[in-house]
Amino acid sequence: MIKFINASFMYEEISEVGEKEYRAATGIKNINLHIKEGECLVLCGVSGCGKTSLSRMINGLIPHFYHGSLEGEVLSKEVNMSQQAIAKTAEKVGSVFQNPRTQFFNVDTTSELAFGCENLGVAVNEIGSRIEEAVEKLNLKHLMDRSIFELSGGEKQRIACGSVYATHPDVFVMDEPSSSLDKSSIIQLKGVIETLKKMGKTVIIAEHRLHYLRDVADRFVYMQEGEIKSVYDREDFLKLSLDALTSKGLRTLDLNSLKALPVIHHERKPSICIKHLSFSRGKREILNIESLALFQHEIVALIGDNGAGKTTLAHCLCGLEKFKGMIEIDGKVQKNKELTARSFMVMQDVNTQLFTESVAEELLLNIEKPDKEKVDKLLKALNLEAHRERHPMALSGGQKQRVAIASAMMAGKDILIYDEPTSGLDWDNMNRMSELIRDTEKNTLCTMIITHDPELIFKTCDRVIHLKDGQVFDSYPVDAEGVEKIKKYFIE
Amino acid sequence: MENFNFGYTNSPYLWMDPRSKALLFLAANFALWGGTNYFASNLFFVFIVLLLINGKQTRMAMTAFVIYFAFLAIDVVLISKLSGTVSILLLTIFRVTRLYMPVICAAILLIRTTTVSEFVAAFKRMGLSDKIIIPFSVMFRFFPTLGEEWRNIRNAMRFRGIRFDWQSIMLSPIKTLEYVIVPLLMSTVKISGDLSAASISRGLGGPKERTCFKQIRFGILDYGVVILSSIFMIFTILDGM
Repeated sequence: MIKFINASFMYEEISEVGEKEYRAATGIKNINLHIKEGECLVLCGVSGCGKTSLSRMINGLIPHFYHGSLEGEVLSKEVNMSQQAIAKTAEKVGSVFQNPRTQFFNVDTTSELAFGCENLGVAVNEIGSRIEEAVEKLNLKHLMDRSIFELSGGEKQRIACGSVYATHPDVFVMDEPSSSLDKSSIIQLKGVIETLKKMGKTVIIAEHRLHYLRDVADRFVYMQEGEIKSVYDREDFLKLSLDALTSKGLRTLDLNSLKALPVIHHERKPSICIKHLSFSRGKREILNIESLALFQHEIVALIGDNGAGKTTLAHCLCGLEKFKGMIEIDGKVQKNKELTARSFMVMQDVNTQLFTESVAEELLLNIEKPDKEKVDKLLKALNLEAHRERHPMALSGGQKQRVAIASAMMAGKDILIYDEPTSGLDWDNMNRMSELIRDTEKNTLCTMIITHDPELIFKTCDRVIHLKDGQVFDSYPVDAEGVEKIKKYFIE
Repeated sequence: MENFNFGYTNSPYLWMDPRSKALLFLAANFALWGGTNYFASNLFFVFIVLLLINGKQTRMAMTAFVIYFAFLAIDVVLISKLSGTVSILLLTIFRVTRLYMPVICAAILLIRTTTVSEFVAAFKRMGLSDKIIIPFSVMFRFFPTLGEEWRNIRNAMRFRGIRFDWQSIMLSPIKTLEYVIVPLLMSTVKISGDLSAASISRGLGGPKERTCFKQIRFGILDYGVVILSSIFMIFTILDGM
């Protein structure tokens, strides 16, 4: 079906003097791979290993959208993909991307389903019947005629799959489709992939999260530094031990096999008390918490389905929402403004959190008494020393996140909240993030992590708060019993 | 910027073609520049309000209706009895606001009750090329995204103690603007890059003639709107002469 013959690619970059440069460190090299018809193939490896680049060579974005130097051949049914116009490739290969927010062209779901077909010039009557077919096959009936902006991440990914499906491609390419999904959305996505496979479609998925693919994938391709290191059949891959996976930088295949770090039980006094907290938007009550205490130097995981009120609770804690009830810190009732001054939320998308022209300046923004020593210490601790004069926007995603955390440390914030810090991170980076959170915890009063990542919880958190329908459904320490509860929540 | 409802709507009682909404908007502008005849202008405004109710924008329609006639009453009863600076001031507030009401209502009808796909279909029927239609639909796609990004930036500014109020805008306008524009640009550049990659890989910009799934047709209401709008426009032109 698709053959890679000695294929290599380097991304083109414009150097400071305005000349074209090719960076060998990015891109992929010496790829030989034969993808069979009707197969479900998973591309895995740490960030930057080249799995996304490989997927871009299949849907033609390389070399038609991302320019660079291409060697070797990628053949799809004996047609050379690099010579074929990308609009032609679009008829045969459908793509689903990582971020459900940025892959929609339309504002309503029905138009979105029609979009691919319209581009390919399919006749109007035919589009109608194709949409009906996609709706039936992928079970999208309740999502029709809705605004894209009111759908959950999982629903958006299902619409993305449906829209691609309507163009009747033979091959589906998915680039980290699960990275911003919660557990029930991941189950929906898995269902869609199973359906596609049953229909005989070829599905290629570049992915960090592997556990949801264990039953549906036929082969796993492990990549490292732009090269294919090994190709496993499912049976062989499932035999790999957790240690073997982590040494490759891969996430777990089996959530059941995870173990938590031993919990340190020491005397803890409540430092933040939430009392009779409620919040409504319009007539709908989003949050209603009778009482909840957060302990000093505690790392809490906030879990729950989409719409359970996790983000709203975080916003209330940070004083961003006008809520009813009260929040006390060390026995003193806090006004909203005081809460905002004492808290910081590390967002998933850090691009909107950085304001200045250099990393050092970012740390000193709005600091009344600039303490140069503290800046040096923080930059060193967060591994940012080499970048102190660089523009924050020129850094990688992980580095930007660290700059944001450093700015919060610099301002001496008491409450630190992370919003999905490890979605889309490989094992190594997740591990690094976990260590970073544990280290910074010493300098704050309380740390809260909104997350759908059980691996992160087991490695990092002391306690879990489980929200359901705006209420505290459960709250328990991450001990032997707690581990079972967490597994039960994420696996079912 | 909190509430971006552009381009998406609940379905109206009687469907209206975007083209007739556009004509209505044009006619409402005539009321602004040529409207010396109270009776015709008022009648036309009531017609627009009724169309808003048809488009399920009831609350908006009611508010506009009350403001319009309250201001008209003030204009007729009060201002004619005053003179000097006070009357000019009151005139500016009450009459100008009132004169703009039909235009505002027609614009709301056009924007709030038309989906992007209906706009695109209408443009297609009017024979516009994809070179105009595609940027237009991307623009609509971007309004809600900008809203989301703006909220994130506002939150981030609060955490960092960056002020965004009248005082900061007056005292240090450039700095305040920079704190808003830099993150907004950075995030929208990223979003638009991703969006282009996604649409190209789905065949946008290919050599084939694009089709349009959404089909639109003139209904009974549309003929009514076109006739009334035309009569009103001709009337105001003749009246003006």
